[in-house]
Amino acid sequence: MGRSTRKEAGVSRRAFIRRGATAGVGATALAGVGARGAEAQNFWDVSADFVTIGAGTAGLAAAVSALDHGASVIMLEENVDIGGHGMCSGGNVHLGGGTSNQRKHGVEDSAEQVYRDWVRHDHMQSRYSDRDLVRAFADENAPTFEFLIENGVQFQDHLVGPTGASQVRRQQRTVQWPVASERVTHHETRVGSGLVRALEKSARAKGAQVLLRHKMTSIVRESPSAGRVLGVTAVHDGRTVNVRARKGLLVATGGSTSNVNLRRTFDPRLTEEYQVAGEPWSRQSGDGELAAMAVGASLWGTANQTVEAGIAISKTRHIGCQWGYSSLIWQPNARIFDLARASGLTVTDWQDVILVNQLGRRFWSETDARYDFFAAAMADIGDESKRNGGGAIWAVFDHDAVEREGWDPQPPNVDPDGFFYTADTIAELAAAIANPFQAKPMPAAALEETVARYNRFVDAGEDADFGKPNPRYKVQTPPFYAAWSTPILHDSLTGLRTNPRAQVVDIHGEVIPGLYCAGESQGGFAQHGLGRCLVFGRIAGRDAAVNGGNA
Amino acid sequence: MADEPRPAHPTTASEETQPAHPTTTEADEPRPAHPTTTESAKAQPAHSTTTEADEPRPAHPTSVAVWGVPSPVAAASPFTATVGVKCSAGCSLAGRPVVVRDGAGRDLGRATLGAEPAAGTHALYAAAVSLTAPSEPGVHAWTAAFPAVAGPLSALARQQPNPAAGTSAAPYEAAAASKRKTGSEPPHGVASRASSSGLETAATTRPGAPSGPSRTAASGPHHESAAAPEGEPSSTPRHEAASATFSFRSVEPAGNAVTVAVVDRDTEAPLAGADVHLGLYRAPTGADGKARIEAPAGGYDLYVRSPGYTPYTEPVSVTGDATLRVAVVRVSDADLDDDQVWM
Repeated sequence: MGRSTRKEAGVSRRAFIRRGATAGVGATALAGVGARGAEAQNFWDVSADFVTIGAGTAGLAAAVSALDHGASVIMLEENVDIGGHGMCSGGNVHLGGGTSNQRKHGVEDSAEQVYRDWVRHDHMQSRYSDRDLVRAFADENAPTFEFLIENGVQFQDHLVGPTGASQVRRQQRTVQWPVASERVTHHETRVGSGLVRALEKSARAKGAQVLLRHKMTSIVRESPSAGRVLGVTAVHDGRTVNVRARKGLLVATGGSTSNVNLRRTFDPRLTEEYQVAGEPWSRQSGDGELAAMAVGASLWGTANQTVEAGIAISKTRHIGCQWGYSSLIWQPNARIFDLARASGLTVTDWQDVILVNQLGRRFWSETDARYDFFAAAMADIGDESKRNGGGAIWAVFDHDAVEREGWDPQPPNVDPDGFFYTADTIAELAAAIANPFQAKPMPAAALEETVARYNRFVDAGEDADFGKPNPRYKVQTPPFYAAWSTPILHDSLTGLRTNPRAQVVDIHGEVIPGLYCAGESQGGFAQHGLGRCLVFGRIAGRDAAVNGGNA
Repeated sequence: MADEPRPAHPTTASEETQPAHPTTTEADEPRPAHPTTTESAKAQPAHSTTTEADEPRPAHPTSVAVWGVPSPVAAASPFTATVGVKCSAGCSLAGRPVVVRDGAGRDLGRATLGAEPAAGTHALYAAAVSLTAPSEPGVHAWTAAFPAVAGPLSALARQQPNPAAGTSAAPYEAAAASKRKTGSEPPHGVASRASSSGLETAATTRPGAPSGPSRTAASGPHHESAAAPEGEPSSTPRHEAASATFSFRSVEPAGNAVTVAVVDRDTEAPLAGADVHLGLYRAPTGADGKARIEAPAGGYDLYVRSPGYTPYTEPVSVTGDATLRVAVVRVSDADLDDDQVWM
C-alpha cells in the first residue's frame, strides 16, 4: 500500500516457502505441495469460516454478508487502515433495480431493466460484459442497496443519472463519515468514507476480526492446480501469518492498475509513467490476481480494459503533483499528505497551457479529453529505448496563465521534487525538468520552437497542427512553468474469472472450490465504480457462508 | 502585467541540492569562466604548460524570452516588446544590448538590458524595445537576439550602431543550436542562485550607475587578457549568443465599437480585470466591468475569462457598434465530480 510495502509486490512460490520456513514450519513439509505443508502441525496461526484478502468496498460488503449468514470472518488488509479506494472515493453508488431511494424519487426500475441496460450492445461499458454476471448483478442490485441501508450507510437525498449504460437514474452518493479522525481526506466531494466506515463498524459489531498491515503473500491450495483452497499466507511486521479459511477465501484486493507488468497484459502502452488514482493511499497492486493465477485461476473479459469508454484513463486535472486525478484532490489536511506531497494546480481551462511530450513537442489539442487524446499522449515518439508508452507529459505555461487561473505555484500546491519546475526562459525550463519518468532531457531548442510556433497559432487564431479550437493565450511572460500532466489511470475493468456466485474459475473453466473474487479484481463486467464491488462482495460472503465454497 | 507583483519564485529541490560554487566567493580570485569547468581545471596535470590565456574559456550559454507583445496591434503603429536575457549561470547582464530583427535580418529596434532582474525571475535581465508594426496586415514573426561579442573587438563592435547589420539572425541561432548539440550547457541546477551567487554579487557590485548605454561598454564579455574596467574582476565570463522568435498580428483599423459588460451572475456585480476576447481582438474590463473592443464586422467567438469564474464562450455577430452583457459563474469545487466521475 504505502511506499514501504511496494517492494513486496509480486508473489512467488519460493517466497512463500522461505517465509514458511522462517515461521518455523518445516521447509521439507511445505515443498512442492501446499496441502502437506498445511497439514503440518500448527501451520495455521488463525482461522475463520470466511477470510477476505482486502478490507475495501468489496471485502467489507462480503464480510458483513458472511457474518449475516452465520460465518466467522477475518479480514486481511495490507494498509494501515480499512477502506481501500472506497475510502477516498466520491461515494457514488450505482445501484438500482427498484430501490427504496428510487421509489422515493419517483424512478421506476426493475432487475430486468438493470440487466437490459448493462448488456446493451450499443454501449461500450456493457458490450463485452459476461451476461451471466450481469444477470446476477441485476438480480442483487436492489437487495444490495437495502443491505447498505440496513448496515448503517447513509445516502444524500438525491438520485442522479442516468450514467454509464444505465437508462434510468440509479446513482446516489453517500454521506461523508462524520468523524474527521476516521477519514483519510476531508475534501467535500470525498464522501466514500461514509460507505466504508459504516460497513466496517457493522462488520466489527457482528464479530469480524480485522488484521491491518497484513499483506497477503500467497493463496494455499491443496495442490497447485487442483483441490480446494485452504487459506492464505500473509506477512505482518516481517512475520509470516497463515490464515485458514474454512468455507471460503475472497480475493478483494482492488484490481491491477498499479501493477505495471500486469496492466500491460491488457494494454502494452501502459508503461511505468502512468500514475494511478487513489494512490498513494491504496494501490491496485494486482496481488490478488497473481496469487489466484498461481493456483490456476483464469482472467476473464479482458477486452473490457480497452473499450475506451468511461474514465479508465483520464487527464491529470490537478497538474504539478504526482497524483492529480480529476476528482481526488489531496489537500494538506489529508491524513497521507506526507506521501501525496502536493495538491496540484487545478486546471479550469486547458487554453491556459500547452501540453508537450518529453521531446518538448505538442501532440494533440489540449482541450480534448477523449481517448484520442490519450492515444496521442501514448504514441510512439521515435525513441528506440522506449517504444511503448508516450513518456512524461508536461503542461507548459507562463506567468500570465498563473494570473488567469489564480494559481499559487508553490508548495504545498506543487511538488518541486520531480513534478514541477520553474525557469526564467523556455530553454532553461526544458533543461530544468528532471523526473524519473522523463527518460531523456527535454531538448531546449525543441521546446522553444514548440512555444514560438504555438504563439503564432494564437496570433493566427488557428492551431494548424492539432486543431485546438481558438487557441487563445500565448506562452510568453516569464517566469515559465512545467507541471506534471501525464494521463492518470483509474479503473481495473478486467480481472479474475468468476461464475455468478463470485467463485473463481480456473483456466479449464472449472470452479476453484473455496476461492471467491469481488471488486475491481473480478473480470467480466466493466461497470465503473462501487456498485459491482458491493454486489459481488455481498454475493461472495453469503455464498461462502451458505455453500462453503463448494462448486 | 510585467509591473505587477509576482508570486515568490518557488525554490526547486534540484537547486537546493546543488552544491554552492566552491570558488566564486572571493571576488579577487580568478573565477572560472563556467562553473562546470572547475573540476576539469583541477584535474589538469600540474606540469601542464597550457595557460588559461591560451585557451578560450567556454562561454556561458544564454537564452531569451520575449513578452508583453500586444496582438493584434494596429498596422504601422508603435508598440513595445520586452526582451529578457538569462545567463545559465545567473550572471548579471545589465547594460548588455538586445536587438530585434525581422525575417530578412533588418534591425528594427534595440535596447539595453536593465539593472535588475525582471519581477518574479531569478536573473532575467530585460529591456523594453520600441518597435513599429508593419503596415501589411497579418501575422509577423520577428527575432529578438542577444548578440555574442567575442574578444577584443567586442567593445568596438558594440559601439557600432548596428554590429550585425547585413547578416541575418542565423549566426545567433546557429550558435544557440550548437551549444545544445554539443551538450555544453551546464548541468541542471548550475543556473541556481547557490552556484552563481558569487558571480551575481560581483556583477551587481560593479561601480557606476546602471544607466543604460553608458554602461554598455563596461559590462561586456572579457578575456582574462583583456583590460578590465576599473574595479571589475578580470575574469568576467563571456556569454554565448541567443535568440528567440516572437510573433504578433497587425490589423487594419476596425470600425465597430463593441462594449462587453461582464457581471457575476449571482451578485450582478461588475467584474473588473476580466479578459474579454472577440475572436482575435481582446481587451480587459475596466473598473466598470466593461471591455471596449474595436472589431470589424463579422462573426466571432466571444470569450470571457475572469479568475475564479468558469470561462464563458458564445458565438456573436458584429454588424455595428454594440453592447453585450455577459454573466459569469463562479467555479465550484463540487463541480469537479458529479456528471463525469463516479468514483
